[in-house]
Parts: sequence; structure tokens; C-alpha cells
Amino acid sequence: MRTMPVICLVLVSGACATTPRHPAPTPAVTAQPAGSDWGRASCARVGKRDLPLRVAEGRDGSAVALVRAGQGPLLAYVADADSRSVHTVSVDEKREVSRTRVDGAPRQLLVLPDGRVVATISDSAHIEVLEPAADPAAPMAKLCEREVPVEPWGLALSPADASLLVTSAWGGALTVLDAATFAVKRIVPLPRDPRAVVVDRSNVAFVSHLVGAKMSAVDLGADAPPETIDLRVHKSTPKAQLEDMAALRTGSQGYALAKVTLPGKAADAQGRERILAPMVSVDPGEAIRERAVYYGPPFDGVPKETPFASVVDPSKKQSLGKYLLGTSEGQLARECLLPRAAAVRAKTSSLLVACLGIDALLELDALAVDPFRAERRRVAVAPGPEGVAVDEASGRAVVFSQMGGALSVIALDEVTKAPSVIALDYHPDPGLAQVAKGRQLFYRTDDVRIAIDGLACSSCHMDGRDDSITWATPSGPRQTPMLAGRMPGTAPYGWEGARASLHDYISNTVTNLGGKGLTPEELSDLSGFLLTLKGPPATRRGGATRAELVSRGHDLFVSSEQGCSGCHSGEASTDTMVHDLEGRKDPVDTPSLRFVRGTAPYFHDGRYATLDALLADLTSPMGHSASLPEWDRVALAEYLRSM
Amino acid sequence: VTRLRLGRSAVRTWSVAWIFAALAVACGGSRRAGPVQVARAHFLPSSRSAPAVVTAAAKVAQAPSTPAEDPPGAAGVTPLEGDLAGGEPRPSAVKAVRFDVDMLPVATWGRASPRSGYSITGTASRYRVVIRGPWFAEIVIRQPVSSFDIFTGGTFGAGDPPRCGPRPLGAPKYPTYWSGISARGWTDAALNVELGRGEFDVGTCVGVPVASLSARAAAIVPGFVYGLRVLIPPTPIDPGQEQLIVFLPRGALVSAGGDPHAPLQTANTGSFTRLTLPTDPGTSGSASVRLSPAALGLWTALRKTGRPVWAFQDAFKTDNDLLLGVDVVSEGERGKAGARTGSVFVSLPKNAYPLAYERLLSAVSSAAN
Repeated sequence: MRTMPVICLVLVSGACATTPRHPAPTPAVTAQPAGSDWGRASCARVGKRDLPLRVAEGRDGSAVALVRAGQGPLLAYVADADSRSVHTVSVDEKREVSRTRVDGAPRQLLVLPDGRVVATISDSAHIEVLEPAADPAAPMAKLCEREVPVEPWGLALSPADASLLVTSAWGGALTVLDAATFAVKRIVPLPRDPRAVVVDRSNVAFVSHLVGAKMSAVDLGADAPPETIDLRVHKSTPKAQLEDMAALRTGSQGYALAKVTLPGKAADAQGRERILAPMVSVDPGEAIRERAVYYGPPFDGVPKETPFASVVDPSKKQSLGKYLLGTSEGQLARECLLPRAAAVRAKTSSLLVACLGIDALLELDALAVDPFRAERRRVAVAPGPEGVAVDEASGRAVVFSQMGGALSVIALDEVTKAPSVIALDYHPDPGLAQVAKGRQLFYRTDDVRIAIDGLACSSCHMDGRDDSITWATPSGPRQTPMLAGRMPGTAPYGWEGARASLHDYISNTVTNLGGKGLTPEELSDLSGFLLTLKGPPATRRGGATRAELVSRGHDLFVSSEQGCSGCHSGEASTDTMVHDLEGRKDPVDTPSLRFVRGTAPYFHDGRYATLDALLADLTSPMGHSASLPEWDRVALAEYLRSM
Repeated sequence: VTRLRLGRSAVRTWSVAWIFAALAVACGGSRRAGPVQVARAHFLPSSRSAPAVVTAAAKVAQAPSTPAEDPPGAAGVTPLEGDLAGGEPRPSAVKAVRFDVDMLPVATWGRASPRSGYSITGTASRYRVVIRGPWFAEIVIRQPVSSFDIFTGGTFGAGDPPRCGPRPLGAPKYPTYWSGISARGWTDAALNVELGRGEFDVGTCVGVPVASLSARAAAIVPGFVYGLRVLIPPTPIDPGQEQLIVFLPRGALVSAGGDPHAPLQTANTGSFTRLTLPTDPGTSGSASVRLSPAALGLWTALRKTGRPVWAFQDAFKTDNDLLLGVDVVSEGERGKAGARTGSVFVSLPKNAYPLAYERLLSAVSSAAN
């Protein structure tokens, strides 16, 4: 009898569902009124009643966190960056029960041992601590904010829940906070674009990096600098040229990490865990090696971009996989070229990888040297999967799809059963909603209109950023430029500056990639999406000394002696012209310098690894910074970093 | 769908009002905010392999007193249709066989048996290799500018054969290596193997052993995949090492790691496939091969008849062949061994002919259990 109202609602909504319709706008629920000093507020719990607790160990952040209150239903907390909300969804009941607005775009969530929820707000420089209501149908209450380096992304707890770890993507750091007081204990600078973080049993934090095929290892028990683990591999396939096999492949798409505990007897030995880093192994080619396609070496069984899951031995801090093996003569289809999230199912030693671009969850053998070589099955999920969590007890995986605004619930032991999809109360920014089609195209892999070898725009321009790679092209080596926040007012486009409009530029790029071409409407959709891409959030750092440096750097930048602003001028920091810098009749477009600090390597051919190297090069065809006193060069570099 | 966790009295009190409000909202009636919101089911997945859509009705959170700025609700996107590249995705793994590396037999190099070795007769275009003993063998001769690899038991050769015969200033001797399997004593559980290394005398066209190793490899997948560990003793300049040698049917598209300058470290295939994977602490090894039905037939023939099969033809296209992978991971570091895991993965492409692999798949299933 008590369930009757809901049953009625189901019947009613089903009966009326013949035409698409939208419900009345869901009331936005902000935890507290704006204007409070959240940075000083206490993060301590306010409520007295027990909260739903995380399932299993669950010490790693994700866009989906699973909790359960006693014997109650399985709940999923979902970080919906588009809606700037945290959803609470009853997985068992297949419905959303509440939504909590937060002050920005939440990227990952982590449930503390007492049930409070920490969220990274990626378009800001803070994390938020939320307290769920005892009744999941009520929104969460915001308890506090804590400032961290800009663009907080990944979350993890150390063993025994002593420390809370936060990676900052644009801030390039790992922040270690006291998990009880939320006081910052340590900020560890890391190489560019750190994303996911997990902590092993020996209290070492492992951090993935979006670019560069590397992982950082930070010993939380020591004050030592981070170690870098090299995840680059060689390819091995009988049809490859020797020089291509000799090349060490870089990598990208390092969004996710997971941990697996070795089962059985192996767990008794020293190495009990392995860190799994799904990514994409990349061979961008070199001028001295043959090119059969626009970028990179010819297809020989291991394409220039190939999914690869690096398996790291945490005790030795080294990658176990050294080779990327060719398994096929022909080009494989539906490859996972945009792995976004990962989780492990301990019972079956499965690595679950959410793959954007093909909208699928892949179940891989987590004990393989390269789990992508041992794919067990794949399941179609709602568009744009960006988070995955596993409930070991019920054998279910829950996948959050950002673009689809939905959760897919997959019964892992029922191979033939299609997942259930739960639509979320999705409230994207209207501007984003308008370019939804362009956004889908941007992330779509395996589309023959876009590329011959399965690549998506986001393969090189991840979320509109850059892959830090210099590609071999017929025009010479070309560094991938960052797009986000750099499109408006910077035409012409491309390093040669040969395309007056984004339409033209995209059209030319897909032709270069061997794609069949997009329709004018699709080009408009993609252009529209590119124009809406926001750059990284502003950096807040430094005191008076830095301000002084930046000021001095600005003076140098605009001075006629240095000549920087002659080309890098205006709000977009470009004169929108091409220049033959080296007198080789090889003119290049003046790139925007917006967000330049996080886009290494530099120069159109990627010849400089750092800004400092660029400014100190006596042979540089740009400006005269090498002749400056060192302090002035430091100031100029600091000004560039502030742009 | 079960009931929200509301107080019982509240449910009872609101039941009637709730139903009417739901009727109004769900059928596109009043859009005024009420105590009830209906969750949408707007996601429509692609037709193929489509997840089920759950249409659910739910009461969403109570409206706050001062709602913040909230964009209007919108439907999430539906999957893009069409224009996908042709071709097949990676084949799904049928089974993974975990094996205990430490349980495999161990063999050590020793002084060569005078009865081992081989000889080559014939010309550069037609030659014949005769190996002493009951072996189907893989032979590698490292010549100054090229390597010559040949397998007995078929027409499997690669590289330039040495030009044998006396030289006025004395014939050179080249390093040579071989590995062989024997049809004698071949059971589902074990396989006799011999590894040898020595010198190839160009003058006499004979491979003379210096060291050899005979052992019985144990089945990893009974009847199809066998392995043994080989210890290479330390020397003053080399700390020694341990390797896992795996024997299996002739593969195509063999990919493996290993040092190409160490002849028996790279994988090789002919009438059978020999893989060498490192098992020292802190190392890993992996290999993948495609196995055709014809290659399984060759394997069966070798075992049953003990005679070579001279006219073997590889499949024109291997992408429909069964994919077999071997992985070994040895954690820890030298002198401080950690966990060691071994796996054999078998994947069947969608267009493979499953009946042709029935026995192998059955063996894999039984080994996996």
C-alpha cells in the first residue's frame, strides 16, 4: 500500500511518455546562501544521525561514489560538472532522489569515513566539504571550502584515512590535507596536468598525468620530492619498421588510476598491489621516419594512438609493461582512445574502464601486463562516460555519463543483461546545451568523417587543452596548440595561419586526418563548441614579490627592445598575422599566449621544453630575451606564466 | 521502484495529493512547483546493444526557500548514429588461465651432449637441415650481417642460409642456438624439449653444441601450451637470469618483447612457436600470437605422427584467427623476489570458426578451472 503512490507515478509517466517532454525545472538546491566565508568555516559535521557510508574501501575519488546506509538502498553520489550539482541517486530504486548545487563544476567526489562528502570544484581553486542529510531525499549541506592550487581534480584518502589528497590539474600540484581538520599539511609541485590519485598500502601517493606518459609517486611519510615513473613503451609487432620499434612512445589521456590487489598466493608476497593507469600510447613520428599518414608513422599493427594500461609495481615504482604488442593485421575498430575513469572489481580482478568516444565500459583483466590486451567484454553506456564505481557486494558497476546526463547500472555477473539507465536531473549551462552536438563530435572516436584511424579532436586536444606532443607532419614538426579559451579573436587558424575561419580549419584538419569530411552544419556545431571552451581557471598565487616580478616582466614584454608585444598584442595576445621568423619561407602564425604557462613544449616545432629555455636561447628568432640579465628573464617568464 | 524514505505518516497524508500532482506534471499540465517532481527518462540509447531505459518517477528534493540560479533542465544527448569505421573491435577474451610460474619445472644449462647438434646440406636455394635426436627444432645462426632462422618440420625459414664450404684462410664459425620439441613422450601434461647453443662451422656446415639443456616442460594449457623455467647461471660479468620458455602451436603475427640482439630472447615461430619471457624480479614479459585452425592441425600432426609437414600454408588473413596472449609479471627486485603471476589469455574473434578451436578452448576452460 505504501508503495502505491510511486507505482502510480511510474504508470502515469509511462502512459504519458509518448512524446518527449521536460518536467518542470527542478528547484536548484544550494546548500547555503552565498557570501559566507566558507574558507574559514568549520568542516565538522553538523548533524547527529548516521550518514550513508561508502561501500567497500572506497578511498579513491571518482565522479561517482557509492554509499549505503545500513541495509538501505545503494546510493550513488554523482559529480555533475555540467549542472554544477551533486546528484544523489538511489541505484536500487533507479531514480534520483535529490540534487545539491555547488559553487562550481564538481569533478570528483570522495566519501569520508563518517559519510561527509568532499568534492573537487575544477573551475575554481577550492574543494568543498558537504554533509548529506540523513534523509537522502534532502540536499546536502555545505560545510566548508578549503583553498588548494587551481583546478582541483582528483581525490584520495591515505591508508587509515589520515590524509586527504587533492590533485590540481592546472595548478600542477598535489595538496595533502589533514583529513580530520582539513588543514593543508603539504603542497607538492608536480609535472603538468596531474589528474587521478591513489595511495598504496605503504602510504605512497601515485598520480596520473594527462600528458607525457608519466606517473608521479609521492611518499606521504617523507618530505622527499616526488619521483617520476616512466610509462613510455616500445611497440612490438612483426610488421613494424625497426626504427619505429626502436622509438619510445609517449602517451596521453592519463585521466584515471585504479589499484588492484593480487589474488591468492601472490597477495602473500611482497608486492600486494598494482597501480593501473589506463592511457593512450602515442607515437607522433619523427621527421627521419617514414610517414604514410598525416601524423605519425604508418599503420603496422600498432597505430600511432593505441590504448594501453600501464601496470605499475608500487614497491619498485616502475612500470611492468615495456612493450605494446600488435595483435591484429588490420586496424581495430572501437578502440578505447579516450579512457576517462577506472575502477577495479576485486572479485574477478577486473579493471573497468569508462571510455569516452565509444560510450562503453570495458571490462579488462586487471592482472595482465597490458589489461587492454585482455578485454573480457564491453558494455554500451549512455553518451559521455566520465566516472565509474563498483559495488562489490551486489556485483554492479555504476557509470556516470556527463553528456547523456545519466547513470548506467551494469550487472557485472549477468553478461547478456543490458544496463539500466537512470536519467539525472540535468541542468547544463544554456551555452553548453546549445553546442551539445559539437561537443559530442569533438569527443567522438572512430568516426570516418573525422579521421581514418579512429582519432577524435579530443585525442590531441583533450578537453580543448593540448597533448604536449610535437607531431611529425608534412609541414614539419608541429606542436599541438591549446584551444580552450584561445579561439575567439585569434583567426587565422593553424600554425601556418592558412585558414581564415574555424570552419575552414576544422575541415582542413579532418582532411589531413584522412576523414571523409563533416557537413557544414557539423562544422558549425564543432566551431560553436570550440568557441565556448573555457580556458583554465585563473591562478591565485604569489605575494608582493611575485606581483613585482610580473610587473617588471610586463614592462619588458611591452618594451620595444624586447619586441614581444609587437606580435603578441591585444587581448588575445596575437597580432593574427604570420611571420617568417627564421627566413626559411616557412612563416608561422602568431599564437595566442593566453595560458601559455601550461602548454609546454614551446615554439611551433616544440623545440623548447620550458619557457625559461625559450627565453634563454641565444639563437632564438623571437625577441632578444637571451641577452637580458637573468633576473629580468625570470621576470619575463613570470609575466608569461601569469597570462 | 520502492518508496522514498519519508516518514510513514507523511506518505499516508500526501498519497492522494501526490498522485494528482504527478498526473498534472507528468501529462504536461501545471508547471508550478509543487511537492512532487517527476524524474525524466529522456536518454534513448542507440538501437544496437542498447541499454534498457528506466522510466522512473521520483520525488526530488524539496524546494529550498531561496533557490540559487539554476539553468533550466535539459535532456542529455542521445548517441550519435552512423559513420563509424568498419572493422572489428578487439576480440573479447574467452578465458584467462592463471598459472603459477614457480610450479613450472626448472632446467639449467649444462655441458652439451655429444649426440646433439645439427647439419645443413644443399645449396642456398634448396637446403636441408638435419638435427640429431628426435627434435622438431628451431635453429638460429648469427652471421656477421644477417641472421638465419629455420625450423625443421616444414618450410619455415627466414634470412640468408650460410654459404658452407672450406675457405682458403679457414672457414669462420658463427654463434648458433636451437630449441626443439620432441614427439616422443609428448602428453597433454608434458613435453620433452631441448635447448642448445654452440658454434656453426661454415667449413663443414655443422652446428656443434657447446652447452645444452634437456627437460620436460609442463603444461600450462594441457596439450597446447607448455612452459619451463631456464636458469642462466651467473658469470663474473653477468648476474645470471631466469627465463620462462613457452612452447605452443605455430602462431602468426607473433609479437613479444625481448632483446632482439639476444637470439633466443625474441619469439620465433615455425612448426611450433617458442616464446622467451623474463622472470627475474622486477621484470615482466608478454607475447601475443594468432593461432589458425591449420596451425592447430600442424601441431596435432607433429604430435601424432612425429613427422614433418612440408607443405604448410599460413592463412591469408589472421584477424579471424584465435588470439592467444601470454603474460608473466615478476615483482620485487633482484635478490628480493616479489609476487609472480602468469596468465594465458585466449580470445576468439567474432568471425572465427569456433568448432576449429573446440579442443583448445576446452583445454583452456579446464585449465582455468
